[in-house]
Amino acid sequence: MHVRRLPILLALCALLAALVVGFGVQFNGSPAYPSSQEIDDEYAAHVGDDVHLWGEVVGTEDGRVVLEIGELSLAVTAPPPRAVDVGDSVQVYGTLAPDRRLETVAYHRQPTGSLVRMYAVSVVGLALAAGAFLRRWRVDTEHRQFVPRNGAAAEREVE
Amino acid sequence: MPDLLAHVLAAYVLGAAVVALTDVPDRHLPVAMVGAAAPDAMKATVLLGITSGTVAGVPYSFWAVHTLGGVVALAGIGALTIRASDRRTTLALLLAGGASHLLLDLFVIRADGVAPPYLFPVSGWLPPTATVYASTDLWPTAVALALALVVFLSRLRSGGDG
Repeated sequence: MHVRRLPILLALCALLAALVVGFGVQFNGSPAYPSSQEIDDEYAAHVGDDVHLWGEVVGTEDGRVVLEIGELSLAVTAPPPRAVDVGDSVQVYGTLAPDRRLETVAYHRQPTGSLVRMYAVSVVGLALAAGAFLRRWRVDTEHRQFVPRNGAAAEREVE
Repeated sequence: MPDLLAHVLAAYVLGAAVVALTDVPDRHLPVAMVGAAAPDAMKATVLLGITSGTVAGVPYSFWAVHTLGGVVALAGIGALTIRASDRRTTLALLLAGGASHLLLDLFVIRADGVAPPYLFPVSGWLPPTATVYASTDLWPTAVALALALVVFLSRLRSGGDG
């Protein structure tokens, strides 16, 4: 199969860019992807909205946990202060109430450090995938493509 | 799934099944692993704090990469980096790896009870989550590791190279 790679590559990159913009147009600011910045800027207009937010525990206020989501700061009805530690990551789903409160419907806590650990383990996964691939494939610099390592020269195809 | 290692290990098991049950050459097994890693390319934007926003009035979101459309686009780009005679098989394995990633992410705990619109741009539907594990849980990775180890040893025994 002889195809011109560059035009297809450019078309696929354009498709990816279109998807990134299309997703933003369709979902930015939606209940599934609320914008903490927009909520913070015009809080009163968002009171009553059901939102799903990911924040960090920064302390307590009047017996309620305070979460920071970017610039937005919210006192949430759950989790209770005894259930979390400062620095924990918490995803909350609930309804925005006056005075920058969130009436929590459901939440899930991720302890401090667990996200860092997840990223560290993920780096191992990335290295494993890259290592396994490069063990079987090598770069053919002349034709700017990957070719199998075993018998690559004999099997090489020129476009 | 909790982390990229679990996704890659699951794709290893999937890829091993594909090469064992079909005439797909063994060298394509790691292609599925790369495919499974691809949707998480957008996590780099999470670390940089630029996942979504607006540029010159145009909204954007790199969550698009973590969808069916993103998987197809990245698989196409990846397949073009492979020599022509292996390209179709590579594309299929990259797609399979990417699809396995999205499928396993349907089990992640989400407080709102729904998963992201993984079928974008075909559909904006938010599927219900199975709520089995958190993205930071280690036990799914341990399960994937155990399964991958069994497959690895089995392949070694049958004369493969693991």
